[in-house]
Amino acid sequence: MAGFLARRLGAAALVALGVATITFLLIHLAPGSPLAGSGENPYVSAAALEQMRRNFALDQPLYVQYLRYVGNLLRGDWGISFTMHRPVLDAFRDALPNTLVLAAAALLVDFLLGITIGTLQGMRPGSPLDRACSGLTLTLYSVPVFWLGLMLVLVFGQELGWLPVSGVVDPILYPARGILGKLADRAAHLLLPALTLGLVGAAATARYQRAAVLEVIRQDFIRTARAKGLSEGAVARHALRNAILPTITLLGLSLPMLLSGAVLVETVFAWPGMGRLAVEAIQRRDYPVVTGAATLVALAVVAGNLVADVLTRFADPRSREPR
Amino acid sequence: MTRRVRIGLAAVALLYLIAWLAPLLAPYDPAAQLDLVSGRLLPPSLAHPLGTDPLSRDILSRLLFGARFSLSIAAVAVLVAITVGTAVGLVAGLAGGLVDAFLMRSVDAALAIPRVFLLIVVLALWDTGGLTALVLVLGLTGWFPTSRLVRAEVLSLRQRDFVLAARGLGLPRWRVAVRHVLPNAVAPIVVTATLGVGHTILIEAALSFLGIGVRPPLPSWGNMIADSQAFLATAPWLATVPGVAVVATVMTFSILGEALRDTIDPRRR
Repeated sequence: MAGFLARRLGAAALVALGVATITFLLIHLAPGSPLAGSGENPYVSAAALEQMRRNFALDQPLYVQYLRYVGNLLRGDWGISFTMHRPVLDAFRDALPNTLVLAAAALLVDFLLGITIGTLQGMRPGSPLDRACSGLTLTLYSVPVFWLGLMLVLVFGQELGWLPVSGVVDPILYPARGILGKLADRAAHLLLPALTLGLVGAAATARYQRAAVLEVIRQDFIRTARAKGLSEGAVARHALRNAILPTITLLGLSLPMLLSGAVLVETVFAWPGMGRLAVEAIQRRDYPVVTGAATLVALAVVAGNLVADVLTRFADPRSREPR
Repeated sequence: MTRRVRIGLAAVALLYLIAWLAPLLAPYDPAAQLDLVSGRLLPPSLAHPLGTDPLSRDILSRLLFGARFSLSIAAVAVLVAITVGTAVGLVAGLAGGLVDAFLMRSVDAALAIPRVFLLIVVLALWDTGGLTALVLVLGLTGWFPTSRLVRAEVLSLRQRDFVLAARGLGLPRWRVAVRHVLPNAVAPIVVTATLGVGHTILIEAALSFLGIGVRPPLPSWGNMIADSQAFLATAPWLATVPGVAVVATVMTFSILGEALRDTIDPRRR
């Protein structure tokens, strides 16, 4: 296990470094400059512009900038944002928890709903319930996530007025509330974004889980379980323990999808997370923030895959390589 | 061909027919601002079956012309993705060894970057706004899964007798690859391509929604939804109509793709 972990962690670090390199090159080779805005500003003198260029090390050759960036990155210094004038890591520290909360809540919706629906379907393939759920998941699977967000805003925010539709907390009432009130306020703000992101993911998970259950349900031990008169619930437990494996793997694979969706959902719900931070940084040519965000995302995805692998090895001894 | 495949094919053909005939079917010019004084944000009526937008443009006309952009962009992008992915998968599968390891590890790394994030970086930075650039970038970021699929397919075909026979006859390697291996891997490639068109339409809509895909004044379903955001309370049909178009179109491709897959591999049913 230790050797496996060490190898995987090494590979993870390499992938993250690769992503940082690709993003660094993409953004530095692209047309446009982070100082273009200041350059057009008549109140910024040529000397000040030159000073900024030197401060950001933009006057150095590209390979020097790259080596400095990677060297700093390895020492835990992610650079200073060009536009926010604060360390990149500080900005991430503010935004990342919001995205993590959103992603965790969405994953919960995704897997609870997806595994339940998929298992129900797989246990009784071809039944009316299976058909109805297939139609539902196929539809959800085809829905643009940002549009689903807007529709939920339309129904639950505007028509019914049940839930807040933007931000993490109520900017006016939040500071005045007690601990329970604050928690409730956060939960209410989280519900719609998490549901939006989770529902789209649940469609994919359910389709995956259905196929996995179908695979298991035909095996002899299920026939035995049914033949000896176990209740359907007990049979489902037998099946689920075996069918959950491929879905655990999906957990790792669904992270890139989830983060892509988070960019859009954060835009719709004005959720101050990493997605919005990254999109704004790209538009402003804030090199260190964009490169840092890409590196962080790659780390998250690689970590997700690693966790999925470890879980699979934990759950299924057969997947451990022989020694 | 099963009934489901036939229905799916007919539906996809109908979609492309509608897109092709958009200039004939559309009641107005999609860019025409018909009446900026009293014709803005009109609800659906006989004159405007789906209403008008904040600039008094006819929504049905924009929807029909939007279909042209969405369907053609996705089709060409998927063609690019499938071509590159098949070539890479074929090379990796047949060459094996270091070439294979290098190609597949690169694909692993590329798959670790969320695609929408990558697309935003590239499209927002190279701010050309051109449709060719959009199609190329969509295609060139979409081939990674295909290359894995084709490689797996090639690895299993490589050991079959007819491939060994072709090799034994002394045929050049490219000929074995193109004439003997590739034709037998076509079926799963077609399935991926079909599902890929639907997926690409979703991504194009997302990019246009963010303002970096198909850009105004060109109509696209994604930027129509983006324009509707401010009018969610006063003109809810504005957001609803293009979204329903996206869902229906993507679903059509999913249904056809899955019908095709079930035909090839009946066990998956």
